[in-house]
Amino acid sequence: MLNIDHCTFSYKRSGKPTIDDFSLSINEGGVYGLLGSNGAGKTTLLYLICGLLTPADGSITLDGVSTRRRLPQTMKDIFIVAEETQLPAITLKDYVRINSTFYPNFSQEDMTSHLNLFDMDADIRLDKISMGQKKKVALAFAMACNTKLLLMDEPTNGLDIPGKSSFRKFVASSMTDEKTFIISTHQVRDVGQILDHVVIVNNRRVLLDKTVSEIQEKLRFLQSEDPAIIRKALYSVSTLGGNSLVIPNDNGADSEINYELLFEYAVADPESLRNALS
Amino acid sequence: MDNIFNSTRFVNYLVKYTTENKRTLLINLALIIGLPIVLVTVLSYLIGKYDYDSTPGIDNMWVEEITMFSIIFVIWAATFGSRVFSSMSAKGNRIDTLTNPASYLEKFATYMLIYVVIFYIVYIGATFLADIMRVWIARMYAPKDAYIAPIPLEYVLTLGNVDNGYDRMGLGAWRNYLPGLLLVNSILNTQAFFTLGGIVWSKNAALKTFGCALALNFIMSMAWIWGMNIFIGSDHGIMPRFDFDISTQQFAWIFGSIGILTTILTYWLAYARFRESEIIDRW
Repeated sequence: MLNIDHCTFSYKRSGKPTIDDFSLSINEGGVYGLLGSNGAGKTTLLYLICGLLTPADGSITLDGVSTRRRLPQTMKDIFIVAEETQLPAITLKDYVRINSTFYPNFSQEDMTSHLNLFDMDADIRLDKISMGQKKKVALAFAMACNTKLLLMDEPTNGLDIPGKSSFRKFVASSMTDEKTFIISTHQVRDVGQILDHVVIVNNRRVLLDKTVSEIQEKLRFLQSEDPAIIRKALYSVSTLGGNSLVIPNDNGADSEINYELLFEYAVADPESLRNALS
Repeated sequence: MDNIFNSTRFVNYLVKYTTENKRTLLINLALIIGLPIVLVTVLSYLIGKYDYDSTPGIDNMWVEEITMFSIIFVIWAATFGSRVFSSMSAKGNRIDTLTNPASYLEKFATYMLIYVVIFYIVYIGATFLADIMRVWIARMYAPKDAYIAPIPLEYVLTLGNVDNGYDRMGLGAWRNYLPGLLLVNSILNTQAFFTLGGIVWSKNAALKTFGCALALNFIMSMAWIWGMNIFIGSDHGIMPRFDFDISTQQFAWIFGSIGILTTILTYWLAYARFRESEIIDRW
């Protein structure tokens, strides 16, 4: 569906590429987590995907059409929720009425249910609400548009604790086989539970591009002080509660992915991680 | 074709734009209508234009009115020109504008309709309204024998250019309409130039375009004088006499056409720049 092919991009001021020879193929359906440290190029990548930036080299296509052309037929299938939400000074009803006409799969029913999930009233003015509430409105609307590709840049920034939980709930409930969500974040704890696919970027390159089940099948994440287990560790970090370990999943046991540990592992020793997952 | 222009999507975008910018557009509307009314009615009273005799059949305020309307027209044209792409100034709006599924042409047509077509109609309507209001109010305080009347259309079209027999360029009767033509050209070109500036610079577009216009003007004036000195000699003055073998009507057509072509070219450049716009200004 979405194909990023040897994409290179650099900002004029920085000189060196922010994205360098980046390739990634994203299939229909699933929640992709785009993880990376600050300045790794996550936001730039989202902007490139939705045609807000032009790659110096390579191409980005959605169903075979370059997203940079920003054609109506492409843009009706893409929605981006930027990190900083800016909404016009009108009522929410007006906002929905005038913007939903551009998205053929928009569902008013979904919009209402998402607003309810966020515990928000539909009868509000968008210039009279807090930043967090604006974020909720933007997320609810974006989800209700039911676009093929939904890009979210740090979606949980600015959300309160119940908001984060509601966000996870409605992402999980909105997923269908036709929809793909790409969530760019460095707050991986907020979204870890809902990811189907993990893409880790660092130093302008993809360090990891695997499904959650592939990772769980090959790796286990656990806390342990047991020297025998520690010896088996592919990667370990000492913490206050003991050692956080990544070990091979030899016996096919289920374990929840510790995304922070996985990220550190990918950055510290990408080769070892690649071998462990191959 | 659907990716270039779709009338339903255009109307949807127009509705979206006007709804989201309702407050700003209404304030602008009030200013466009209110400013000429206030200026001509208050000024005609303050400067006592009807306290002295006028030329028979000519209202004492006509010249001031035409001058004020013309100056305001040019200023508004520049201001609205630089606002054509105001939706691209803040980052959030820029993302919304560029990722909205309406086509570039639909978006551009929306902006042009509001800031050019509707602006012209409203402003011209506002000047007529201001003129009527001035007449109506002036009749309340002016001396009984003062000649007070709305400006005739011909006076407007010629910008009050009375036939003084001065016809250096040999244009005959058409010369009366040249100042008007020059003004229309100036307004069209000014607005197009400020529109281009509005998409080149996302912040402080009007100021930067004004600076750019001044610099361009200076360079072109210098190039003109320098060129004249080189090719014609230094005894010609700033505006030498040319003996072109064309009729006055042809001259007006050529002059008008060049102005319109320049305007179209400038708008086309602005549109091309808009199509290439990204989330950040990279060039």
